[in-house]
Amino acid sequence: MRDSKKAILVSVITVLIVAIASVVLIEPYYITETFATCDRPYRDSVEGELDYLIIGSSHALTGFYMPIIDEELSCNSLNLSGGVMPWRAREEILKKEVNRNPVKTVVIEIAYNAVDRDIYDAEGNAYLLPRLDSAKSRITYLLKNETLDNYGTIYSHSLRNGLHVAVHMAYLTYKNIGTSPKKLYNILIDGCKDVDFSKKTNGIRGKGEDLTLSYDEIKESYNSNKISFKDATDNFEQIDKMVNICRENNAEVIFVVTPIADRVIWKYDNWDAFYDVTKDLGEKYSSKVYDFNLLKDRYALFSDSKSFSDDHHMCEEGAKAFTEEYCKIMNKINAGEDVSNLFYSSYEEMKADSPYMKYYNKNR
Amino acid sequence: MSITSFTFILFIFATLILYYVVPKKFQWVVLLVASTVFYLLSSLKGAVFVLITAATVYGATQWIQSVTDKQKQYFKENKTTLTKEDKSAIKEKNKKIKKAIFLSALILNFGIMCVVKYSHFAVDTVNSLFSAGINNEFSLIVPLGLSFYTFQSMGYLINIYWGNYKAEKNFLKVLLFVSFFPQMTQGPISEFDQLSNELFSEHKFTYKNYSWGFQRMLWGFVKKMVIADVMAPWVKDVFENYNSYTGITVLVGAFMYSVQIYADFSGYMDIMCGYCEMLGITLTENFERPYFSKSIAEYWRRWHITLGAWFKNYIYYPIGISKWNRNLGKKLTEKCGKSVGKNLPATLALIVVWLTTGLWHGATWAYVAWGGVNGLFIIVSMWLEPVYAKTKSALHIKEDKWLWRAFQTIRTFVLVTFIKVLPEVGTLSQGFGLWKRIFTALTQIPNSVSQLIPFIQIDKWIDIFITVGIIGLMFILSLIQRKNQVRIYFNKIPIVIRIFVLLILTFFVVYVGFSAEATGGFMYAGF
Repeated sequence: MRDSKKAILVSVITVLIVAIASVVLIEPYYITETFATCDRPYRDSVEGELDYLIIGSSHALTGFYMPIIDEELSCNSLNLSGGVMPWRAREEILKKEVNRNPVKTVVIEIAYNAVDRDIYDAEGNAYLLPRLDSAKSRITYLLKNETLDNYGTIYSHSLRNGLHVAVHMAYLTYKNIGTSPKKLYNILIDGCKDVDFSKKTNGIRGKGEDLTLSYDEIKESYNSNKISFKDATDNFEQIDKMVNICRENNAEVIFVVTPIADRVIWKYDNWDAFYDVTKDLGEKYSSKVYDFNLLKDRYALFSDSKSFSDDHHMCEEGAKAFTEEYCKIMNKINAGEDVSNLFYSSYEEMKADSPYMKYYNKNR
Repeated sequence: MSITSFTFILFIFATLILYYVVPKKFQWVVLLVASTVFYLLSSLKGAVFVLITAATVYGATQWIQSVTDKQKQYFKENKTTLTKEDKSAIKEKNKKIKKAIFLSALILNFGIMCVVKYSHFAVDTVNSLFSAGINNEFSLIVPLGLSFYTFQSMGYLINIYWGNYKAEKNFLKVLLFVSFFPQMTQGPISEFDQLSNELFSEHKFTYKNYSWGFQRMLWGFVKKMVIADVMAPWVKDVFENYNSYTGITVLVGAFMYSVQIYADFSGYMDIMCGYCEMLGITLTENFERPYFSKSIAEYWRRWHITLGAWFKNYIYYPIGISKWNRNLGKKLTEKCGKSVGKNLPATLALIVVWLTTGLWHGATWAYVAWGGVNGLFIIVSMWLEPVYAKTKSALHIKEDKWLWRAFQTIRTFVLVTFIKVLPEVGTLSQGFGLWKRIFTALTQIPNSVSQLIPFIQIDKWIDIFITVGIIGLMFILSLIQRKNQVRIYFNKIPIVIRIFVLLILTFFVVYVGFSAEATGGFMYAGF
């Protein structure tokens, strides 16, 4: 055999051996519901039933308490959000669900730190992979939406989680030796189901942290950073695609900004640059835009002392409070009421009412 | 392009396949193209510097060679007409021409290296000595592998000047020698006659080269990514916060640094030597179980072997055998005895070698001091050799006994570790501060494992277990390697088990080495 053929054959065999071994170890992670990102089997089980979807990043995943959405808005909802979810990943998941469900409303969550999020985000894409249908769709997605250098991190993440599930499966197999293959398969799938997605609270965090700034922090951190955005052309193209998917399926689009800790807003200047981005989106698509950081009651409803587990994510108590308020406002809108008086007209106006501002002005 | 990235792995496999696809006489061309691509992807602007070095070295060596060849030819053609004096005069004239060419190319290339690498150091030193207030905020392009490829190409230039072999006529082959990507960023620093044989010969694909090379390359990735890259943040934590840790913790950190730097550097060597083996190319070894050395001098014959050889061949010997040094030796022998006559000239050469070695490693006084301390140990050992011999004889110490060898090995490892950490902490005073912390806070005993090693996240126990396990394996393999290459034993194992072992190592690299934890962690991993 010629040298070139030998070299190619041996290299291909090397890659194949590693690939097959990897698939054996990783596939259990993709087919079970062991981790909070593994919602594909559940979404397949409720195909054709969903009419209210929420898609965003971790702000939305932790902020919306979905059982309250179902009850107060009389719908069958699902939160499709994910941690550091790149916009291309959001489009991928949303497209699938809007096309196979009778969706009436899609809430697109926009966070200030997601506007110019990198299109190639290893972490966000690593969380996306088990939510895709098949090996082919995963490979196609990665080839189109990831850099070569991030493949290693994504591979490692999948292998780690896969090993975790594979070890558990090996234990269950050992305990059920002698069972028929079909029965054993079901035992393995059910046995590795650590997350009950039907409760719709897989993203909700537990207790909150007291994030209230000390007086010195109030003084030192006021407007100590500035909001600005890099080129986000690709992300806006994805938003465009998402809105078009919704329109093609007669689903209403609502843009929402979930609350973040007041102390983050306190530390950054130029928030109205972000507010302008959201307003522009609303105008462009003739869609409603609700920034819940600007809710006039936010200081009472979502306080830094009890509503957040960290700067950007609500805890369970905060999520319930926010979702209840969100549903109240949505019901008012659906009843034809004008809710604009419930919101500040700018971040500057909102900051002026901040409890931190009282301390700041008093002691300047 | 980082060597521990997916891109690099794809790149080397693509190069490997192309290497064996093309006709054998063009295999070196594939390597040249690959080296060019590698360098352009890693450092586009720096590529200009590599080109300058290759062009000036090629031009100078061609010129020197043509002067030599023309002289030979002239002498041959005028054998009967030229007198001895005529020949001497022509030789003298040509010698001056060759020296001028040689020095010009040498000064230009070392000059570029010095300006790029040492400008800030020089300005800092002048400013602190003379309060000159010179602006040190300028930035310079530092080409990738500058120190390595400069030394390698200057070695070639020096050998041509010395007439050790003929200059290569093909510029592209010289360019490949200068820029060969497996070795240009971290060595080994090769000699042209050895490397050119490997690079420009035709290589057949053999299963043995592929499998043995792959095994070594994989082991290199394991050392680099599972040991070195994992330990790097731990070591960094200790070095940055040594004053907050107990003496034992800082000592543990220092030993960890020794393990980390060995795994990093030798891991890189294994990756590149293993890859070259897959291409049928043998690179010079750069490490030979250095932590089993019994003296500092032996350590430096086993650690970064090719750098030591370069300094020995091109600095130590030229100084050692120079006319003035030999004359000095003769005079000292007459006046002060054989020992002084032999050791003092050697000492002078060693001082130059070690100070420049320190400077080569880093542009700070801490590195110069590090080189000086290494040199000091070697010089003092050289002078005290007779005293050691008498002491060992008086104490009836048998050199071949394992207890004595173990003592020497551990002693050398501890000394080498202490010397190593000196420039790594930051400034020289910080280095001394770390030494001081070890000794003054040694009596503060940590009362738990987490206090002993507070820089390690115990909850990542699987990763730590794998890393510690691989360190243990590395130690065991080093012991086996003493007798014979580990791969000889490994390749006697049934192929299925071999594949299983290699898969486990691959998954360790992926699990630990490519993990998000290795680069700071996934923010939402707890989700």
